[in-house]
Amino acid sequence: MQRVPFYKDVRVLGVLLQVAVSLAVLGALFFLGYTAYRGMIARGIPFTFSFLTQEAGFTISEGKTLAIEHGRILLRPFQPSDAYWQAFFTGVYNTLRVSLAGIVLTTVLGVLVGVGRLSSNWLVNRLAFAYVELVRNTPLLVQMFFWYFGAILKLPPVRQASELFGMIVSQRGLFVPWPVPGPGWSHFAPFFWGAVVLLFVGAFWPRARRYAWGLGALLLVGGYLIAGDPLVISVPEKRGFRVVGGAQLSPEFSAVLLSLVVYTASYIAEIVRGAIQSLPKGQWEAAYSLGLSPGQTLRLVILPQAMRIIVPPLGNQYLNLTKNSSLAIAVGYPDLFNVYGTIANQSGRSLEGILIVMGVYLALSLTISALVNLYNRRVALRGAGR
Amino acid sequence: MIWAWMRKNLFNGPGNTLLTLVTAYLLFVLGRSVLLWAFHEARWEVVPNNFRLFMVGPYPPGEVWRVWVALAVFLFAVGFSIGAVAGYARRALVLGAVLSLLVYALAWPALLPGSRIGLFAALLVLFLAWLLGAGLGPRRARRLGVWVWLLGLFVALEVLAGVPSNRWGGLLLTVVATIFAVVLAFPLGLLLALGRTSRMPVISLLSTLYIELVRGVPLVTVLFLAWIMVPLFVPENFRVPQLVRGIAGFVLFAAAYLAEYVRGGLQGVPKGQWEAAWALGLSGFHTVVYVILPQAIRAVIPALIGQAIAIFKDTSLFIIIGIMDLLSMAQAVLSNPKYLGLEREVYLFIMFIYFLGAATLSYLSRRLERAMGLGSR
Repeated sequence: MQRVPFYKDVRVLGVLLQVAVSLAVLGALFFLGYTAYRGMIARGIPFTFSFLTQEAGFTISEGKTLAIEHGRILLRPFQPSDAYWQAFFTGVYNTLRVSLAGIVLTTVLGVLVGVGRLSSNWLVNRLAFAYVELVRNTPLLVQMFFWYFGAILKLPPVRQASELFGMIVSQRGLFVPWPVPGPGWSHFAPFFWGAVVLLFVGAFWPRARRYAWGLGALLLVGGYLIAGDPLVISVPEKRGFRVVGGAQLSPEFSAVLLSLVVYTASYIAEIVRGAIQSLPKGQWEAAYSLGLSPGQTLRLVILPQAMRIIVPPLGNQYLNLTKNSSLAIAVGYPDLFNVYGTIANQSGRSLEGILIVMGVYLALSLTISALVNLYNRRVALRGAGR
Repeated sequence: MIWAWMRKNLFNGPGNTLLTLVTAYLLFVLGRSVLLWAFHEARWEVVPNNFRLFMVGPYPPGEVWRVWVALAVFLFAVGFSIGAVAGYARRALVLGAVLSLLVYALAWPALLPGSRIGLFAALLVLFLAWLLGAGLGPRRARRLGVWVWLLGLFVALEVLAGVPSNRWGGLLLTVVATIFAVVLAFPLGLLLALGRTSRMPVISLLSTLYIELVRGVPLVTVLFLAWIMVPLFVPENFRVPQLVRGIAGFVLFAAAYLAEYVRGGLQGVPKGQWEAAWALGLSGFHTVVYVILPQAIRAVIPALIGQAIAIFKDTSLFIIIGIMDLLSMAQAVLSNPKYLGLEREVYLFIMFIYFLGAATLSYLSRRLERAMGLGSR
């Protein structure tokens, strides 16, 4: 066999190409890093993370930070005398708060609209279609501005605010009833934590699930009988210009949450619709011929199968929602990116700060996609085993 | 007949009847208050009074002819492509004419006399180019299409550049940024997709790292990074225009997403296609360019246009790094004391513009899919 000259050998060429590309990428990175480093020195701002422990000196309107007081680690509102890293922590806290609430609410709304899109009821069907088209074809940022400046800030002030199901809807935000520890809480707490432990035992040990959860329920009932009211619902009440009781969702938080939920739900609706439509028609017909009602068919036959198709793209939407929460800077909700903006302005550490911010978002993204993959494996496995 | 239809679609069974009644009631309440607001309370004069600001931002009024020329050149390329794909299809022509008339009628009251002529001429060019594209026939027109686009974009940019880019704004800037971000991100995304699917471990690893890194962070952070970093890399007396920095951020971001769509398409091409091409003696490069990519891209055209729509919508993020796009112009108008408190009118108007753009693009994508025989071939 004639030997191929080395400059025509595909394997040798491949290795050479890879070496060349790696050298080029390394060289480019080094060049960029070095130029940036020199540029920063020339501007008198050397690259360092030491600013993180300096005092921040600004206020953050909501959210909590991690602090050590009297030898105890606790969560408390951010104060101007706290350090920059604590400000970052508050930003992460707020990002997580709005993202988690958003993920729960948008899933509910998205599934409802997606099912509505397939309804045999013409009115519901068209309404869901119009919703999806209108929301998907306009930018999220404009919608956020609209909800904040055009809707929430135009609500009446607290005095004239309307009350709905115990909630107060006003310019100052949304006040909702909220459970707070009642008189019996201190005695009830051991029972409660015992039940929590049993809940986890049951969740990870399927064989003992019935006993663990049953015992947990018994503990809760018993604790309630012994200790008395563990939680009382605090209902917001108007007192002149302010509101006492309940929990306040600030106008900024409400606007960010509302726009993220409405926007993401339109994408989830399309995912749900596509998944349900991709199931063979025979599934519906078989369920009907067994005498199941349309609601039962959807709940017991269609959705469990559709879940397998829905979960991966749904996870993507959760990721998008979390990343999109960075637009909160537009309405002044102090999420991670917004807090970064303030820090960068004040300390001049824009490059170091943006690297921290990107790292945090990357970690959040990886966590969410790992969780979704875990869940996906469970859904898919059950299907494969059948 | 209408009764039969209503019984079938609205009132079949007690559950559906209840659902219909509740929905209809809610719609009535909502629709009534919205219509009352739109026709009695809303002060829509804020839109025509600031129309030029919304459309071109601080572009000097005396130079606006450049925008019309650029628009005409751009619409020439659009019309040429539509003609190449759709030919003389009567439905498309009628729809195009109706849409153009609608746009013209809506814009008429807000335009100055000179601009009325400019818009008319630009729309006329669209249809002339359509007829030209259709007349050349699909084969020749498609071959020429790429050159028409490249040349058209170049000429349009040259004409616009008679005014420095820091005076561009409004819808003009939004559209220019979208087009350039898409056009530049596409080749980069293509390379990244080929890199990720490559069998060479180093190249595949590097591409995967880049794609996953960028997809894991929000667009704002990438824009910000580009905004902070670019000035550090150039000599201090040389200023990179803000618009260029913004577009650079978009390209870096969008390429990662485009790469994933193209990769999906590449994976959909059967392995036999590679083998057949090699058996014919094509080199690796020729296999990719003539055999694999045409099939891969055809399969992902809807996703690619979806990405273009996403970029169009995301240009609204320019406001955060201080570039004067359409949304920034809305903020500028709202900060004028004369128009205080008109947030609803202004935001609804710019939502309408974004909606028109995005809906038109997605309609074109559906037509293109059908014209290329996707899913039926």
